[in-house]
Amino acid sequence: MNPLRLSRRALLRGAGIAVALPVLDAMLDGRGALHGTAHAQGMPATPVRLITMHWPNGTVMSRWTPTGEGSSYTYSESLRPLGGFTLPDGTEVPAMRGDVNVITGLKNTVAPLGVTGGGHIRALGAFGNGMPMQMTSAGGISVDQVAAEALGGATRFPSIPVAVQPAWTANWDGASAAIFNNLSWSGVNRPVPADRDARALFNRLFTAPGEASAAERAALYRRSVLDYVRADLSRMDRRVGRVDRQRIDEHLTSIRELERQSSVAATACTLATAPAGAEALPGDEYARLMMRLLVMAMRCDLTRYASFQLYHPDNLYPWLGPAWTNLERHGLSHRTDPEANDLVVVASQYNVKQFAYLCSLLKAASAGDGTLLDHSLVYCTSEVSEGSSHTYTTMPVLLGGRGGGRVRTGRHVRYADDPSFNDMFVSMLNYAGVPTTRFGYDGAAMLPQLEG
Amino acid sequence: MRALRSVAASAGCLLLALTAGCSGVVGDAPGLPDAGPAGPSNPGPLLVRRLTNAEYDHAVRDVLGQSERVSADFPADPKVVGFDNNAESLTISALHAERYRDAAERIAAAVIASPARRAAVVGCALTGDGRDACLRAFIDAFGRRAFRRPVTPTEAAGLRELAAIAADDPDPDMAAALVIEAVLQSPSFLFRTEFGDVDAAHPGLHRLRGADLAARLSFFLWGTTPDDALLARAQAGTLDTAEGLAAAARAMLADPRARDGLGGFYRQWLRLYTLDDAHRDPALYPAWNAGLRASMESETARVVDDLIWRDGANFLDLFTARATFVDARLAALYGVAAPAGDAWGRVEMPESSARAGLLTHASYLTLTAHTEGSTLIHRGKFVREVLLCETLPSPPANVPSIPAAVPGETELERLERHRSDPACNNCHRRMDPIGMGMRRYDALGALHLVDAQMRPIPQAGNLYGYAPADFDGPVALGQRLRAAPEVAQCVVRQVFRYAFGRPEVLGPSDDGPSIDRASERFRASGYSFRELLVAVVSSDAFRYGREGGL
Repeated sequence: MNPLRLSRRALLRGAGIAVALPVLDAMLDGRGALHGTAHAQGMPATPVRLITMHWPNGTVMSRWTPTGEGSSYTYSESLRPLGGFTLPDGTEVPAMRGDVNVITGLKNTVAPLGVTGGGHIRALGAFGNGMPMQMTSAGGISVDQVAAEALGGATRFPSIPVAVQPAWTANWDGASAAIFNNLSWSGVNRPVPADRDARALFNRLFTAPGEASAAERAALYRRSVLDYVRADLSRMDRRVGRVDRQRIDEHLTSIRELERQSSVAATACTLATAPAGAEALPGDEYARLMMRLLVMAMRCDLTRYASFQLYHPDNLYPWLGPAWTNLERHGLSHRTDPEANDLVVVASQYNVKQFAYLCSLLKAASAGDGTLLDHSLVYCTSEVSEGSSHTYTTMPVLLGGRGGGRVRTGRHVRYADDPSFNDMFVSMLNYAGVPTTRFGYDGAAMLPQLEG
Repeated sequence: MRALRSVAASAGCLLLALTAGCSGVVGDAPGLPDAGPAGPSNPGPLLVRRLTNAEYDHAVRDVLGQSERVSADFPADPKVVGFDNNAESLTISALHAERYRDAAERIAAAVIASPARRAAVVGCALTGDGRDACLRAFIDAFGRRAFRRPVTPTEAAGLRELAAIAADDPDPDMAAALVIEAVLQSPSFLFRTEFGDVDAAHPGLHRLRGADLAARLSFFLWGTTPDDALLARAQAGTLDTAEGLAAAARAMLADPRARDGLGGFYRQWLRLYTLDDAHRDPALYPAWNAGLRASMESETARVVDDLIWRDGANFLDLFTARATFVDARLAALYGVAAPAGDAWGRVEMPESSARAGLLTHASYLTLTAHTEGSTLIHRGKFVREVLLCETLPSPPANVPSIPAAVPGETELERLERHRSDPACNNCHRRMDPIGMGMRRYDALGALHLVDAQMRPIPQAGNLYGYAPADFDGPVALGQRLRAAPEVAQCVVRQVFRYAFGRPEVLGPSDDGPSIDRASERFRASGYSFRELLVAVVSSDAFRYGREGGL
């Protein structure tokens, strides 16, 4: 299969526009990086991309967990989409079973330690960072940001967090909505906000051709304005008190990041047309558009690390059919009647489909000696396992990709002794070329069995 | 009783429960002995506060004539204890910086492209011999408005250097555009940074002056940046006494901008914005549409506005007022005569009516009714958190869901069974029995006296922890709340959170004395909301700051 052909058509399908993509792969060197991009030391030969992905409200575990272990496991109802399915627009998504692992038995060990009792929020506050949440913030740096800080300087964007829904603004359980809205954190009270708007994300990633010459003068102006702002911040930094300095320093860091971005060449990925009409797309289509943009950014090596938030817990899934129009997902997940369980399974299948779709996009792109998915790890789970009771054990984890060939895929991997989910993050960082033995609250070792 | 059809279907023990006590209050940490500096009570920390997205929009509207909202693609500001201006949560990231840059470029381009806006902002020609003088005048005037204080000579020199980079640009106004871009990305615009003067008499305290106070006043009362007149007052030193601040606040409250500004407070306090997230099944609620939603919000806003702005009004009438405002949509919902056409009219509900006070407003009754049930709980939760300032923690991990209803069991019985578990009851007794008293009002707030089988719907409720606790319906509960000192104090605490951008910390060496004094002045004024604002503004907490941040 020609991966580019799929991308060219698929990137903006659903947005109702045609787009001509340049031959991107021709611009990439044999290792999937842009020509001329230096590889950071200690990296795998081809960089390993990391994506954390979240769906809300858990699932019904009795209808999630597959029977059997290893490569001969049998799908549960919820996991059937891993065998391939057809999207509403007719697109066939091939079976991804061979490229992913279904992992059961990991435990979110720190959710119970969060400062507020909210069953969802304190688990979500630990998602990807593995530290007990605080009232206004996740408890620490998330796995994608650890990788971004260590290795993200090689690309224009150290990381690209993406979310599909508008930000949630209300309080839940007294804690800050920031916890609902952010999977990526560079530290306590330092969320790395997600791109939520397809057009804005497109504009951020890809410059339209023809703007290049006028852009030269604009770039000089931009640089000069940033120079002024940076000097201004330094003056402010000297004046404010010790505690206040943190905010000013964050601003200064942000400005430096803007300067660095503009110094990294952005010529490789030029798309002709922004995704028009994206606002009118149903939520499932919109999510897939955001995935196509994110994968395009990874194919262009604009970034290697990302988080992807499908939805926050309080939401509707109206695209699943008339019965779902006003069915609030959080309330549904707390019902235990058979009808509700059936509906949760439908939602779970939908979540698995979105994960499989993202993996299929990565698989359709070549990188290094294989596909981009071979050189990726897509960690996908919810904040809780059993949605009805806020259970933090036996998390329903999907892990897409081979992590540069280190992870053996196609299996159901079951852990019997409740290892911490933080060990998963230790593994992911090591596979990505960030050697560490610790992560989060209690991550102390790489997980066994993944390499099989 | 449509509202109750699915109530508790999702309740479980899950929405709220606690095994260890359920009397938490935001900021209820006891003050450490000797923690507060001696002197003008404890004024709270000096904070660096990033402009909220709303404040940013208002500031560029007022300073640069930008009428359209530019913050739509900024990362959202999270709400903490109800409000989006929590200093600690107003972080800044690379994405923020990018969006600020892009917004600044858009705004600057729009200003120089519009002759009217250019004339208002720049005001002179950036060509020929007058260029330098024009640039200086523009930087001083524009910078002063944007920074909310005079521009320092260092800043002015830096901005002139920046403008010089565009000296060869075919468009002479590009110099102005670069200055606008730089100023809008400067920390002096994006952050409210308060320095104050070290107060020699009170070590550790800073006394705020002039421009710092002008900004505090303006963002609190107007929701936007100070105007030239207020900055002139600040520069003249008239804000530097409590009396001067009170006088300035009264003058600002007489300005129409205060209506918008204070709307920003109560729309958040009363959670009116959450109506935007309300969904209803059109088959069950055919009256539901965006127009009705807007009418619901508008009713409550009109009532609150009336209580803020009508001279002599007692703000606590919010909980009992028989007078309200309806349009045709609400009149149909409430079963009263509609005003003509699209108009809004003031109506006085009859003495015997089931409508009096906020707790019978369609807004409250709707925004607490969730599509999948839990209405009883949320109506009670709102009373506890929003009106009584209590904090109700959520359930601990691994709390089992209550099993599905047993055959013949009503949803109410199911909730009762749920509360028979002491671990659940510990918190739910504070909420569910309040909602029980509102069972006659469906998920749009329409009144039903009998259920589908024509049986009368009871409205016996219980306000656990208050004596007498039993009440009959929301009208009676409103009267109870109006008389409770905790409710009046909660109004003060909510204003405090909004004014200072942080949760209050009760206790004698923290914010307790400031809140007590404001509460006393609120009471003494006959619960005039405007006098409460003046009391907050002229308090030591407003005029001083403690070093060291949160």
